[in-house]
Amino acid sequence: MNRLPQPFWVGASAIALSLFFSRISPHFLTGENIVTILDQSSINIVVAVGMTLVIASAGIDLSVGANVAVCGIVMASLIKAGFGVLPTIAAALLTGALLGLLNALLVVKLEVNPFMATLAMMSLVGGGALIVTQGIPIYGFSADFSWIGRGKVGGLPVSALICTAVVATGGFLARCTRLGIYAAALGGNEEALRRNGAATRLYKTVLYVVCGMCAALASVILTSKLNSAEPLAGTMVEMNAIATVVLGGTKIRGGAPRIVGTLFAGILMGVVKNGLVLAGISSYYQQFVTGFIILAAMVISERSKKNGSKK
Amino acid sequence: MSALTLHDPMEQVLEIQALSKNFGRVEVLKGISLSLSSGEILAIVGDNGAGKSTLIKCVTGTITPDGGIISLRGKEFLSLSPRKSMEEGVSAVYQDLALVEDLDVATNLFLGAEPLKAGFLVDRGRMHSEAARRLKELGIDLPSTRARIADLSGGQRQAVAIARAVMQASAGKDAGIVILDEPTAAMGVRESELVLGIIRGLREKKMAVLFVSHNLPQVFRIADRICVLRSGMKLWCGKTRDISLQDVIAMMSGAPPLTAESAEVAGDE
Ligand SMILES: Nc1ncnc2c1ncn2[C@@H]1O[C@H](COP(=O)(O)OP(=O)(O)OP(=O)(O)O)[C@@H](O)[C@H]1O
Ligand SMILES: [Mg+2]
Repeated sequence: MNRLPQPFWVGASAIALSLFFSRISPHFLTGENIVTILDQSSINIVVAVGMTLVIASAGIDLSVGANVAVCGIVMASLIKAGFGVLPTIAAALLTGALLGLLNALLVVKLEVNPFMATLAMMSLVGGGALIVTQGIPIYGFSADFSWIGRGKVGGLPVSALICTAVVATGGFLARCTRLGIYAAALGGNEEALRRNGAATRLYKTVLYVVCGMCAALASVILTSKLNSAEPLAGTMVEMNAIATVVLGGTKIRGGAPRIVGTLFAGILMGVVKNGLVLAGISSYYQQFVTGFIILAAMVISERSKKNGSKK
Repeated sequence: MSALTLHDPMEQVLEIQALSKNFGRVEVLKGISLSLSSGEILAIVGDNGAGKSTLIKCVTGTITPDGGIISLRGKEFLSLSPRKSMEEGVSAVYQDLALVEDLDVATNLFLGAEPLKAGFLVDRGRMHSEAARRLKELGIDLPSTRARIADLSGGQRQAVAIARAVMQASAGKDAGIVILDEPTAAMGVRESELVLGIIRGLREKKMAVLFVSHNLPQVFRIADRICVLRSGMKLWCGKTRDISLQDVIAMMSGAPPLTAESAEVAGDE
């Protein structure tokens, strides 16, 4: 059992749970509901892909939720000012990238511990969002814009398509470029990477920027889905993303990034969320069950590490 | 000073002058000077904590010395970065090996110098075939280039680190400087012999080898010159044939130095 990678187990669990839920509710395994699950999971998965790369490098980004909120506000302001959809999205991506760059500045230049640096950023940026909006959501986007969160192409929600593109890009970066290798090396042995002449600070910076841009894309989906920018929209986004990453098999202390694992874990979390609702179980249990799944995943991966390899 | 380095530019590839390093209040290197020529194996010996690894890390740019000059191929440096040092042809096997456990053998062998296609795509296929070829050339036997470092034995890990240093050293146009910090510490007899063979091979290719070892019989078998360090000071430096194993042991463990620096003066042409 230890030989099979965690993504396999997570994927198998998602399928098993789906079968289980389909026995409880015949509605669960319908095409329509599967599409709903993909749609609902997309925001979390998009954030989690960026988070996977950062966590692989033994970093963390707690500010993604605040990032989501701020990007929403930026987009709202631009749309209200008459900008088109594409420039608005570009501005959101730029905002996300800048916030990632700020995180990187703290972590790489000032050498603040990533947990504390991004915790501070979470407060600063999230607080800023509240100050600017006075805590009041901004409504009224154009129909073009809400198409992103609500529209469909060929029967598939646009959000799920964006999510697929992000997963593919993340998987490509992790698998086929130096960024993926160096993320794992930064997480496993940063000093070794440095001694071999790699530009460790540059790559670390890029990782945080990519993570910030993923949060911005998630914000595009969320804001258009809600058709409003809410200063508290990003609540729990970071926690869910971190849980998804770890559940997907990327080690919290750093190591190889597992994008496919993150995808499966995101779907598993979506299945749980959706299944519990369809089974008529109070949404209060959702968080509880999610916590249980994460604990189980952690225990299994810690045990397989002990049995599997030395150190 | 530069007159000295220019004296024999083709030969002398590394010169360390009055190198010092403190960690807090502890003086770990106290004005060490030594030189190394291409096609030469210089062994550095000394007890635990003598400063051997610290000396090496100054040359590889991993740590910044507090004083002194390091000349690589005639270029003088007050401090180096790992990249600068590598650019000047230095490659190293560190005592802690500097491997990434979660990555496989091939990726570790090419760490920092991954073969690319289209300018940015890591060519994993070439990485594995090249890695397998180089390991075979060196006579290093590993289960697979896809094995994770975490799943290898201590000796196998050392072999990977050595192979990487050799690959890095042969990557440049000019013969490089290879530094090995206790490369055979975790190896059995057969593997150690293999490594000694590899080191001799480097000398034949006119590379300069700096070799740290606690295994004195090994040192006496392959080193052209020996430097003895104690508590951050150079006690003796000279040709291997000018000193006996017993004298080296005596010096390492605290006997007064053999006619002091005289050997160095006499030993260096
Ligand atoms: N980063 C560091 N911070 C503080 N002290 C250090 C550091 N690195 C080395 N030292 C100290 O410097 C001294 C020399 O260490 P060094 O590793 O160079 O010894 P060595 O000759 O390589 O020993 P060994 O044979 O055990 O490998 C030791 O007393 C060590 O405790
Ligand atoms: Mg040492």
